[in-house]
Amino acid sequence: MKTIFVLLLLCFAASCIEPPDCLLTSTNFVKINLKKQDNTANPLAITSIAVPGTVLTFYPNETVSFVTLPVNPESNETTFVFNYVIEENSVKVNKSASLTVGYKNEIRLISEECGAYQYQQDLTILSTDFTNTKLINTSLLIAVPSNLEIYF
Amino acid sequence: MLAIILSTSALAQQADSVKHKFLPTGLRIGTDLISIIQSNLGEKFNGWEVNTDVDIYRYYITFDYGSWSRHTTIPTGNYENSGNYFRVGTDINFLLKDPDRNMFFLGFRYAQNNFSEQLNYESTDVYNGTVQHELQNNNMTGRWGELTAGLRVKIWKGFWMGYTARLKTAPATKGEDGFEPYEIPGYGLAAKKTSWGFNYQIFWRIPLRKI
Repeated sequence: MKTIFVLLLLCFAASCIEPPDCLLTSTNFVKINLKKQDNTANPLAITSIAVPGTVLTFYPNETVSFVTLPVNPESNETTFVFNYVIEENSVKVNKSASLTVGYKNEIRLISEECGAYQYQQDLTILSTDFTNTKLINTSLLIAVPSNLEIYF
Repeated sequence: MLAIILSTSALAQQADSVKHKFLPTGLRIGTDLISIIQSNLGEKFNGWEVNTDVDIYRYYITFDYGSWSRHTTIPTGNYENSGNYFRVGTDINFLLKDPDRNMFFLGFRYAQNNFSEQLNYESTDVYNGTVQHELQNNNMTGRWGELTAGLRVKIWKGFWMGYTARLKTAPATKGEDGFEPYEIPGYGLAAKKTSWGFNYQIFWRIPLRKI
């Protein structure tokens, strides 16, 4: 009898751990690593990354081997057009390739204090012009180092 | 061997039922004072609960029915829910020799509800600017289990008071459409795998037969 009472009391106490804090673990950014075929980082001279149908452009005239791009939270897919420059036979060539990612939007109310937020999961590659892409992680979480890899 | 065990068990049960008379002696009907006080203290919560039990020797078959609604503001919006729930289960009395039939009990419940939720809020992103979201989860059902512990004390004639502490667990919902369920009426926050509740109750006992 005493044991049951103590066990119940412990269960009640354990359930008193109070409401979730406002720390968000999700982002609406897809993280993309740009790599060489040998799996090493490939700094790419990007002219711009544009989103068709919007005025948004990201990474104008930057050379990077890693990009983070926001997905549209009011849609189930977002297309990015990569405009970049590569050297072919010592000649600089302007290239363009598109990448369309799909995802599922979820809305969650964290708490009365923290409010609601929208997050994305189940990331997929719907279509792409890149010859070699790899989906690494389908969750758009802060802790996830990379969602996609594009090989040049 | 099995036949001997079964027949011995049957004889023991027969003797037990003769000795203790497994017939109900009274029906208790009551309500939770905490829900009523909470409803009158502010505008956020509105709810009530009816609690009943009937005794069969040391076992009490219980049935509760309640209503729960909440309206609250959140950053950039508001949230509200409303629903009705019931619980059914059994309490086991551990004070068998009390002359007033006061009880300390442990028990369990199965609980189920029907509810709806609305969430309105604004979000901002680089694609769409500020967007107003108006989301609903309608015709939802929820269920969960409870372990209970508490007291029932006879105050005067048929008037009883008591409390019930509830460890609620294993919540499940069905029918969500617009957003992840936030609060399950009768249970609490849907994200919490265990939740606790406390009722302070008053009862009136209607005798069904003489003890």
